[in-house]
Amino acid sequence: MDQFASFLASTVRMSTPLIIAGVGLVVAERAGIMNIGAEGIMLIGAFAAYAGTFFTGSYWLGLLVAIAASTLTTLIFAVSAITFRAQQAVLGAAMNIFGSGLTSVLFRKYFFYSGSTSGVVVHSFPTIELPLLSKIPFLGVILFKHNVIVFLAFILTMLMWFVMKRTFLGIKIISVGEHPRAADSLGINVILVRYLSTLFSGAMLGIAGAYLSTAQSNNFGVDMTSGRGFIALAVVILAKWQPLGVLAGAMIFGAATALQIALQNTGIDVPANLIMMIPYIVTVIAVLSVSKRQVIAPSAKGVPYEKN
Amino acid sequence: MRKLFALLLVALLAFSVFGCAAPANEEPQATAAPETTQPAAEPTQAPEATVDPASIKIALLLPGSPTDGGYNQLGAEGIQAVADKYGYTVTILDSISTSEQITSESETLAGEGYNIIIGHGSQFATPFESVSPDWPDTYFITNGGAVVTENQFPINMRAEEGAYLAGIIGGMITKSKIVGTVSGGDFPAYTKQTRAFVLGAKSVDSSIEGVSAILSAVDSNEAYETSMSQVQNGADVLYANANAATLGTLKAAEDSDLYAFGGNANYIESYPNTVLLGYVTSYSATYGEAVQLCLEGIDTPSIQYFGISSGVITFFWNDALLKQLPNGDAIVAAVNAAMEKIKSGEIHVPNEYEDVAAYVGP
Repeated sequence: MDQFASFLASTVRMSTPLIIAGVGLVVAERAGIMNIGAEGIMLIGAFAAYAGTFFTGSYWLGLLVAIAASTLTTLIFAVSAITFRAQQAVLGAAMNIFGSGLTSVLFRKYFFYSGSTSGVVVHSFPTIELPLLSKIPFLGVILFKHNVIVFLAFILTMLMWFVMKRTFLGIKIISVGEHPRAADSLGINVILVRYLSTLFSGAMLGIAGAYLSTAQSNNFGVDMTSGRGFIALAVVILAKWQPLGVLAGAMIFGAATALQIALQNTGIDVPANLIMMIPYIVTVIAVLSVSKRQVIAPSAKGVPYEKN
Repeated sequence: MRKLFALLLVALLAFSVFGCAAPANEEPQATAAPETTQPAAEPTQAPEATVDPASIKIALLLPGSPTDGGYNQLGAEGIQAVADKYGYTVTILDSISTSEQITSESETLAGEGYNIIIGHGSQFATPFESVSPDWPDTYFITNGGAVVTENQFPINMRAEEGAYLAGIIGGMITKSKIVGTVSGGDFPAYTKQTRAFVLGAKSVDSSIEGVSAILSAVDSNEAYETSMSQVQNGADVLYANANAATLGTLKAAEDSDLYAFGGNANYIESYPNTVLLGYVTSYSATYGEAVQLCLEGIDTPSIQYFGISSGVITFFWNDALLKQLPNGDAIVAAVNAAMEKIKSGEIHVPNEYEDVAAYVGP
C-alpha cells in the first residue's frame, strides 16, 4: 500500500508542470491563440527561475522572475500573432528554437565553469506537510505532502475552471475564440482579450518551468523540459479544452511516466527499453482515443483576427 | 512597419539558431570536469623527443562543439592541456558528426602529415577503419569503440573502477542492505559504472541487493523521481551516473536524508551533507598517455585501458562528512586497500566490453 501511495504521489509530482502549462494553454487556445512555442517559453521560465533564485537567494523571487521572463517572451509571440497576424504555427516553432538557444547560451555563459561540471544547485521550494491533512492515511502522502507549487497547480486549475465556466470573463474568452467577429459586434475587445489570454498562458508556462528547476529539482539543464511543453499541448487536446480535463489528462501522462519508473525499480525481468516505452504507448493511445471522439477545437483557433 | 517587424523576427531567429549551434553533445561517458579541488594525474613523462615537439602534429575530431560544457569541451581541454605541456601542434576540428565527414577530414589530416588523429567517440572507429590502412605512418585513436588495426586502436577510460570503490563505501554504510542506482542511458559506458557500484557494495556483503533503473532521458526531474521510488523500495544509499541528471538523484538523497554518490564529477561542493566520495577521470591525463604510447611506438595495437593503475582517476574525499561516521576510518582503509588490489590486478572490475562474469573480487 505504501508503494502504491508513493507511486500516486510521484504521479502528482510528474503531472504538476503539465497541469500548470495545460491550464494556461487552454485559456490561450479558447481565445483563439495556438501557442505552440510552449516548450521554448517553459524553458525560459525554468532558466529564469534558476538564475533568479541563484542571484537573489530566494526561490519566491526566482518564481517571479520566471513569470516575468516567460510573459515577456510570450509578448513577442503575441505581438507577432495578434497585431501582425503572423502564422502562429511558424511563430511557435521559432519560439521553441529561441527558448532552447537562448537558455543554452546563457546557462553555459554564466553557470558552467570549466573544470567543474558537477553543476550549480540553488535553493528549492521545500516539501510542505499540510497540517492534519497530510496525516490522513493513504491520501495524505498522495495529495498533501508536496512543495507549494503542486498545491498551486490544483488551486489554479479550480480557479480557471470557475473563471471559464462561471464568469463573464470566461464567456468573453470563449467567444473570441469561437466567433471573434460576433464577439466584436457585441463590444468585446477581441484584441485585448487575446493579448491577455496569451500573456496568461506565458505566465503559467513560466510557473511550470520554475517548478522543474526550483521545486522538483534544484538545478537547470540544457533543454531540461524534455518535451513537456509539447506534451502539455497534447494534454489540452485530450482535455477537450477544459481546465478539469487538463487535470485528468496530465495525470494520465504523469502516471505513465511514474509507472515506468516504478516498474524498473521492482526489478521485473523485462528489458528496460520496453518498460521505457510505456509513456509513449500511452501517448499514442490517448491521441487515438481523442481522434475517435471527434474533438471540436475552438472554431477560430489559430486564425488571426482583423478588425474591419 | 510590418516589414521592419519581419526583419526583427528574422534577426531573432538568427540569434536563436546561433544559440543552438553549440548543442550539449551528450555522450555517455562524459559528464564531469577533470579537476576541481585537486589536480588530476598528468602524463607521467614527456616522450624522449629527438625532434622539435612542435613538429609533432595531433588532431582531435569532436562530434560536437568544443564549448558544449560537457563531453566535447572536456576532450578539447584535455588535448589542449597535452599540447600546452609538451609543445605539440594540436588542431581541433569540431562538429564532425557524419561518417562522410569523419572519413573526409581524417584523410585530409593524414595527407597533411598529422602523426596522430584522435576521434572523440566510438562512432569514429568504423570510418577510421576505412582510412587508416592508407596512412600507415599515422596513428588513429578512438575514445571507445572496438576496432583495432595496425595503426588504429581505442582507448578506454575505466571510470567503473571509481564507481566500484564508491560502491564499497555504499556497502559499508547501508543498513537496509539495498542500494539504488540510476543510469543516464542504456549504454555500456553508463551501465558499466552502475554495475560496478553494486559489485563494490556486494564485495562488502554479498547479501546486499541493487535496485537499478535507466532514465529515458538525461532529465534531473526523472532522476529525482526514480531515486525517490528506489528509496520507497528500501534503498538507503543512492548512486547515479547520468550526466547532469545525477543532480536529481543527489537531491532525492538529500530530501530523504541519505548518502549518495555521483559518477564522473565532484559533487561534494554541491551536496556537502550527502556525498562522501567523488571520482573524476581526467581526459588530459588519458590523452597524454595515449599520445605518449604512439610516440614511443606500439608493436601490437590493442584496446588501451586507463584507470586507477594509470593514475588518470582522481578521488575527492568529503573529510568533514566522513568524520561524522562511526566507521569513517575503516571506510578509508577499505577503499585504499581495494584501490591497491585494483592496481595489482587482484580485483578486476568488468569494463564495457565484458559482462559481470569477468568480475574478480577480493
